[in-house]
Amino acid sequence: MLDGRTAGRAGVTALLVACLGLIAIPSDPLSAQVSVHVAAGVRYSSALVHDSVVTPFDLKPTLAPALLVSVRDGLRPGWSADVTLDVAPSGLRRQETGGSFDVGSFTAIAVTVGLRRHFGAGASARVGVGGLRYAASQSGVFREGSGGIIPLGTVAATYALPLSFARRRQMEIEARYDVHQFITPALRTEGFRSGRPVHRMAILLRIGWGGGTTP
Amino acid sequence: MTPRCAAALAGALVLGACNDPAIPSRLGVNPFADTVIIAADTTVTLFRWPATRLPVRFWADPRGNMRFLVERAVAVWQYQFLYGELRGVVVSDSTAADVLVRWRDSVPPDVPPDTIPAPNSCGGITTFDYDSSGLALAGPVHISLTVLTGGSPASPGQLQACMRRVSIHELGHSLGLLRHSLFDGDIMYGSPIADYPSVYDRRTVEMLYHSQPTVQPPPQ
Repeated sequence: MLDGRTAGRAGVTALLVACLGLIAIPSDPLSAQVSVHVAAGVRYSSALVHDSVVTPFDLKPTLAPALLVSVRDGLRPGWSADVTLDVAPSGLRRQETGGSFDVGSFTAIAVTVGLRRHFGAGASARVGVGGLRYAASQSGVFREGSGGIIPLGTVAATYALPLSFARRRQMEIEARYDVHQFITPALRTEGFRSGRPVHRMAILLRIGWGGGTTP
Repeated sequence: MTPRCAAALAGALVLGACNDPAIPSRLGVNPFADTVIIAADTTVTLFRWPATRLPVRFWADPRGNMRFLVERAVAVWQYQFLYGELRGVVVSDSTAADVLVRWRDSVPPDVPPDTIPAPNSCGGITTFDYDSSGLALAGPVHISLTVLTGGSPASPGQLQACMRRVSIHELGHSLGLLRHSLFDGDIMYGSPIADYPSVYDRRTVEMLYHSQPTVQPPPQ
């Protein structure tokens, strides 16, 4: 038996697989052009945990750097697919009435596969899905481990800068949003029955190599 | 077809992750976090180390395996907290410590603990020095561990097992768990027989570290 949440997640996965199946097979495989992209920027994250012991408080990542490496492959005209490694080291703070306190750090590592639609004038949009893992020392909410790989969904809007040096470097600005559900074995032990949705937003500057002109 | 598909996927991702989980109920907190000074004004004394004073600095008597016992007890208590409410460190300079842990008299042998319990083979005492106002500590917290000789004789291994329990128990007092639990499954029971803090110990210290203290720590 699947509960509603599991069924919903399975539905999203099935929808993604169907979309990928429709698009990811290039009409002419020989026209595919591979490029490598590196992006760096800053990421905001919503709270990982909202809890209340006497008074309410949040466990929230700090504003943090984000580093992404992508391998992109041109598909049919106007479309490309990519695999992206996303690494984001971050501090962790407990925010409560009367202050905000350092409680450690972690690194969020995500791998996503995505489809990108290229519009005119250097604009493109990407939708992707993948998995995210929290790497942290075994203390606090991670004292019983991180809970493994968490499904992640992401959307992004990208704009290629219309300047000559920027074109040479395939320079792009990207606004990226992703969402996943955060829960760890220690939180389950504490009594949490489901994960909290964590929304992350990043502003990135990307440069690329290879692939010729943008498809 | 394809853009619609992508848009539907993006929408599903966002809508599928919008529910906040319920905050768990935390039943079973023992009322031993505070100690009540029976005075005319019925003042409640509640002490904990504030976040601004972390890490709490423990000094361990260099004789025997006291440093091991203190480091172990600090780690055990730190493990109880989900949200980094407590951090402790063992320091080598007693003048820079918040909590001093000493042997009261003889030093027990450092041997592997015996699993057969002899609960009353050792003891401990934790002492707080309040300033004249009664609203702040005047100096470091003192803990002494002692080998008890009055009861039936314990093996060195039983004595070591007892010291491990009692060191956690006494450090619990130094963190602000000033009273004893009435339940023998708790590490804060008067004569502890549990090896580690129970869920009730954990819930209680968790609640203590989210409560407003009425007693301030000693000056640094």
